[in-house]
Amino acid sequence: MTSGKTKIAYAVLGILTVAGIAAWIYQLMGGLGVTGMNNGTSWGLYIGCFMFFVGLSAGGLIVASSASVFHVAEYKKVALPAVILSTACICVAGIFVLVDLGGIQRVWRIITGFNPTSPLCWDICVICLYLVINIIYLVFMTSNKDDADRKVAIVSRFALPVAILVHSVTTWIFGLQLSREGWYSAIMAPLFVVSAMDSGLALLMLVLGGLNKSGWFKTEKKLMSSLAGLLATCVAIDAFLVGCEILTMVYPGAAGAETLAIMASGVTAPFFWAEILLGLLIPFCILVFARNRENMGLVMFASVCIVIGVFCKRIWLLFTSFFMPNVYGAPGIISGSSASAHATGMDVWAVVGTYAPTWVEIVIVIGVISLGALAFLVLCQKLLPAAKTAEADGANAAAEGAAA
Amino acid sequence: MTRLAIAINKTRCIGCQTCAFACKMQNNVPEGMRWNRVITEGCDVEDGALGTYPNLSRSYLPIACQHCENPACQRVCPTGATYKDDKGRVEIDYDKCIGCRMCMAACPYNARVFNWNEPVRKPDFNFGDKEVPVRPKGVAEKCTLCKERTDRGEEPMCVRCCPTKARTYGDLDDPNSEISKLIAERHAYVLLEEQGTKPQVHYFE
Amino acid sequence: MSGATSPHAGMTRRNFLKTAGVAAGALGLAGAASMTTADNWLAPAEAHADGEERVAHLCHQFHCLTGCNLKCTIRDERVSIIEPSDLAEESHQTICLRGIGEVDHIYAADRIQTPLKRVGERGEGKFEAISWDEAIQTIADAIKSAQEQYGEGSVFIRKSTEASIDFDFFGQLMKADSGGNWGLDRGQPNGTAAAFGAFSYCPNRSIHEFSDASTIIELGHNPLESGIVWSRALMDAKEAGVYIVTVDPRFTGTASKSNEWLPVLPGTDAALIQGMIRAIVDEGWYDEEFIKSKTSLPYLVDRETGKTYRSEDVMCPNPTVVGMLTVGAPYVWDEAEGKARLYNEEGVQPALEGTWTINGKEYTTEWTLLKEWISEYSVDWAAETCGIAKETIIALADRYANNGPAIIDFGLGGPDKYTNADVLGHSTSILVAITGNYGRKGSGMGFFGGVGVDDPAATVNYWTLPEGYGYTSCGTAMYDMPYNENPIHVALTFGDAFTLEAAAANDMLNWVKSLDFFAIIDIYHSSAVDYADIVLPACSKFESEENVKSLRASYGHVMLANNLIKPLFESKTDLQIERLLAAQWGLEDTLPETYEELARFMLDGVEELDPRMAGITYDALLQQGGCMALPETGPDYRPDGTADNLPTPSGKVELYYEYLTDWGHQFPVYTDANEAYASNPIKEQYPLYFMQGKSRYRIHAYYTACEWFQENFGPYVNISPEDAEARGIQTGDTVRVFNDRGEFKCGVHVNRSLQPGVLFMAETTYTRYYDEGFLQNVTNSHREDRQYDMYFGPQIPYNDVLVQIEKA
Repeated sequence: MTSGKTKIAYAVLGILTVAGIAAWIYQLMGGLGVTGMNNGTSWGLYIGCFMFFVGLSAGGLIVASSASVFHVAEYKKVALPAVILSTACICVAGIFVLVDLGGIQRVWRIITGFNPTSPLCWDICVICLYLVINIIYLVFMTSNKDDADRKVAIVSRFALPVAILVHSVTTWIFGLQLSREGWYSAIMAPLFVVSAMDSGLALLMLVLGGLNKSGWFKTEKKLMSSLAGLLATCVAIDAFLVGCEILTMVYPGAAGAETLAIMASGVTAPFFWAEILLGLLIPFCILVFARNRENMGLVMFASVCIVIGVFCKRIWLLFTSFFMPNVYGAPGIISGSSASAHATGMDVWAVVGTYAPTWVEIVIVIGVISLGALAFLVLCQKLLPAAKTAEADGANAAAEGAAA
Repeated sequence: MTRLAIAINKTRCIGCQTCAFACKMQNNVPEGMRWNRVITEGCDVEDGALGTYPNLSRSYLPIACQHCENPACQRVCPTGATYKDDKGRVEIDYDKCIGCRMCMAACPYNARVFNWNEPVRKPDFNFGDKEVPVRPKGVAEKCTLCKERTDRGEEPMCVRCCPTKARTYGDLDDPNSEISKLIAERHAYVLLEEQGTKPQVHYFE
Repeated sequence: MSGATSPHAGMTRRNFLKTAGVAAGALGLAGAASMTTADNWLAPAEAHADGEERVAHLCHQFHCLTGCNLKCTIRDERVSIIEPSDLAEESHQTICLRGIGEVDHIYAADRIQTPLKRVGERGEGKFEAISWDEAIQTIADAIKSAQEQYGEGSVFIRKSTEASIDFDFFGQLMKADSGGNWGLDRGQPNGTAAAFGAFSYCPNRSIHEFSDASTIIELGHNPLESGIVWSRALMDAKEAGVYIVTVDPRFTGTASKSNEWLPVLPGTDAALIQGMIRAIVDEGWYDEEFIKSKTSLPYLVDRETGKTYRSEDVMCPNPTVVGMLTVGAPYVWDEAEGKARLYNEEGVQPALEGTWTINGKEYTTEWTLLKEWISEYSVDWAAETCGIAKETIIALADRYANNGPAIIDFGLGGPDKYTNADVLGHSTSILVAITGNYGRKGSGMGFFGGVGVDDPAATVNYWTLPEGYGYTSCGTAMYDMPYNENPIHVALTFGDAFTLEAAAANDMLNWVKSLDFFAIIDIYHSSAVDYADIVLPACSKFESEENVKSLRASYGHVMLANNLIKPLFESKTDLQIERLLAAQWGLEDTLPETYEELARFMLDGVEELDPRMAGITYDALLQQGGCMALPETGPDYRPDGTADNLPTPSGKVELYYEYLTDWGHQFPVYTDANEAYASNPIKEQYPLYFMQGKSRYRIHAYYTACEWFQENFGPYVNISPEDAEARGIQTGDTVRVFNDRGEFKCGVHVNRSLQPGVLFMAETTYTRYYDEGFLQNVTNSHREDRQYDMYFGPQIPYNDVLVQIEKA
């Protein structure tokens, strides 16, 4: 059934997934001390990836469901791959939360001890709901029954607000924390939703490009150009909201300006500027011109830029607020045991936040994403009508797209 | 109601770290962790100074869980592992902690530490109060206001050991307690009042 | 014990801990070895296993001069909690981090576990484990052969302060040389001894009178980091509104709590004091009444010879205390009768100033000479020398003289570490005496922090050895042995004497290497251990073969250590080690057999000697838990130290040092420190002053081994931002500190608390924790010759040092 390339893709992703699982088992044995996280920077790459993948997921579904809700007929054509992508991404996001837990064996306590004031509880509920909707969506969309279209339309009416909500709630995990200067902002939710849309859409475009190549799913060039236009709009709104936030931070010249200094010229500056360039400026400058939107190479390039740019945004958003403790002074914050602080003696202290992911985290992240890509490929093969029969020459490209 | 708390006289605090180690000892706190730290405020080295030579100043700030009336950590805890108890203390039920570290992100005071790995104890046995639970890998911990001692009617170990008697322990809800009087008379303040956490730990000069 | 070797010989932490477990098991103490690493995931977090608990009490450190009684909770035969004792009188229920840190320190990886024999070169630190029998035999053989070959004086035995200091028998039994003058921290006392008495650095009024003073000058004293629990009195004073001034080149914790910080240039404190004296004399702010009645300043001095006019028949009340020579009573000029009369005659009204001819000789008063002396030092000169503005000096003089009562609390071991510390001590004595800030409530001078009369002193018996045994001295102090001919061939030290009680370590350690034999008895693998041929493991204060250990009389209490844990590993108590050694000469019976015997002896019949000791018996002590207070002990204890009948020849404050006439130091002639002075030409090469002092994490090198403290503190040098920037140095770098005497490498903290041009490093840390060398490699070996004539001898000028620093 599958071509050689697809087999290779499955094999590579499978190996990476197994490596990730092995690293996770290693992490379970040694504890989270095998990561680069510490008492000062208590969340790391996992939570960054969690934010990122929730965004990627929401973007796809928003496009798909708005197609049904607002009867944008042409978008309906890509709804199925969009929902498959959304499902895979939300699973990846969920897994990132689980691998980040220090006591996963006690995770059932969330149900028995459910705390309604915890944004994490809200998020778990919304993510579960979202996953269920995605699955129902998939079931209906691939159903051959007569009233499937009607059901899809009904589900889409729930799916759109939930997709927006899932990202907002994820944002509130951060945005409601008064203790973190860089997070605590009302604009955080809209900002996240918009960047979810642009990154999710960009990923969808990449995936569609890949599926096109593989022959599993054909998308018209016109539709791609139209989606690229929507992408440009999202990028513009994203840029506008980022601009609003920065102005609000910098204008009083107070604490916000200090936080901004950390991201503009401090430790998280490379990520901040990468986002501004890759996530906003470059793609917008490309996609704002209709002629460029016709050029699939440029559209794909812009999409890659956006996906990377938004990832950088997650990184600076997360870590900027861990850098400077509210109460500053030496010796600072004690990082954890010598083993977990990856330091001995007085070096276990740090006056400002420090973090660098370890190989364990990186292998786990690659493994989780590979698992997601595998799931995506499998779902595509099972659910996309063309893929079921087509010689999937370009499976490799699709895999690349999904893994980006 | 009871709201147990500590008031710290910063004028008397000499930055000696005795409270930090008293806490570590009493609570069997593992290597690389402190529930209570004494920082030299605003400096990047211990015993540093602010200003320009010779116009220098230095202040020490002991900082641990502030046992907030409106604890950000408790609010965000998904499992109810962190709770406000009937004596006004913020406590952790370690059996319920799933290690999500939401509380660490929410606490404005960096009061919490996490068992990133199997706790390493130096010396290699469970020292401290025998009633203090031994925390496993993967849970957060912090100052309990010496729950085990205060439950027995004793003062917290940091208060007991402070060489300059800079610390006063008592019940904020008892207007006749020494701590309540001190807070009123010495115009005590709380750390990061703007965070709205309403700490029960008070400081005064 | 299986596989027990020196921590230095490649033993990992885990190894060590396993061994610790074996030790506990082997001694039948507890099966507590595997208490941690419970890999049981789903087990609920439970309280500790219900271990057997008991409580032990002991008197902790003498060395920081706080002597806290500690309450130790021992669970499963391990010291689990250490807290203030509830047996002590309430104001003495004290502890600091060093007491608490013992919970780790007792079990630290740096513990010496078995007797060791050197297998590598001296200094290399390679050892193999040997038996006690072999170790003791080897030491005895070395001592015996040296005694036979070179005589009794060839053996050097010293108890350093960090091992047990309860007794000191073996060295005396060997008639060994104990190294003479100590050379530590008595620089200012050299200058105050003749004026107020040899031990006048010990205040004669309580530290709790700090709150009764109007002004306290902390002269090079940083109690907030040294004798930590004593800082409570200073904080009480601060809250009571007392004006506190700290004189220190460095912005110390104490400086930060003071109303005023005077950052003198290193080694120039005496100029500040002399500037104050000048201002007080110029402005007439002195206390004439006190000068006339309580000091030697009216005494008549022969202008030509500089000798005091003394009676040949009538002797002083304490005629020999300064010069060992009997001195006659001095004369003063009686204004009423217009003739010279003995200073203590009834009704005498001494003139303070004037010149008189008696029997053809011209006499004047000390006061006149003092004024002539001080006229050579202007306040401007003082300001320029010490770096403190003239107005500030005058204001401080005004405050001190006119806004009393005032206290000068000088640190032992701060300014003492410069070669001119005697000049400072003498100047301070003059300042105190002419302002009358002595002998009344809220006044005084000395080291407030444990050596004064803050509490009633208990009476105990002292174990004596049979007639004929005692230390000898070759006349050369230990610190001079690398430089002077001496007969020493064999050395035995309890604790690290050689790297702590000497500067210029390269010289000292080369001398140690040249010895025929060197053995050390220590609890931890301290810096000197690497140079020893045989190492014996002593146990900590918390361990004893028997139920009891040291009996100590301290701060109004009698304390008997009891209920302790058994010695860890193969270590032994000092008493048993001394007995093992003495047995090699058949002399073990001259020593107590047990600590119990010693303690019983110490308390036997004391209530007949001192009624306050009534009821304080061995059995009563044990029954009470091991700590009993004398009846007067408590916050209200305030002995009335006066300025009368001082332990000087005439009983008055004697400010004119006739015994230093040969040195021209009858009054303190300002002299630059040996190396640390502004115009020193070697500053071109070595521009930075290098100071050392106390850290809260150490008592000298003690507590280096405490792993808790290792998280907060290690060997690092502090440098001002200005000096650091000029050299491209940043916090966290490794730096090389060097001068012609040597070098070392360690970490660095860029710290604004440092005066530009000054480096500071807290003493001290076992050498292996440095990147290379250690701080005493650069320190000064100079001796000030005039100090050989002084009570405490020449001081080791640890801080009289210039260096350069660079990024390593």
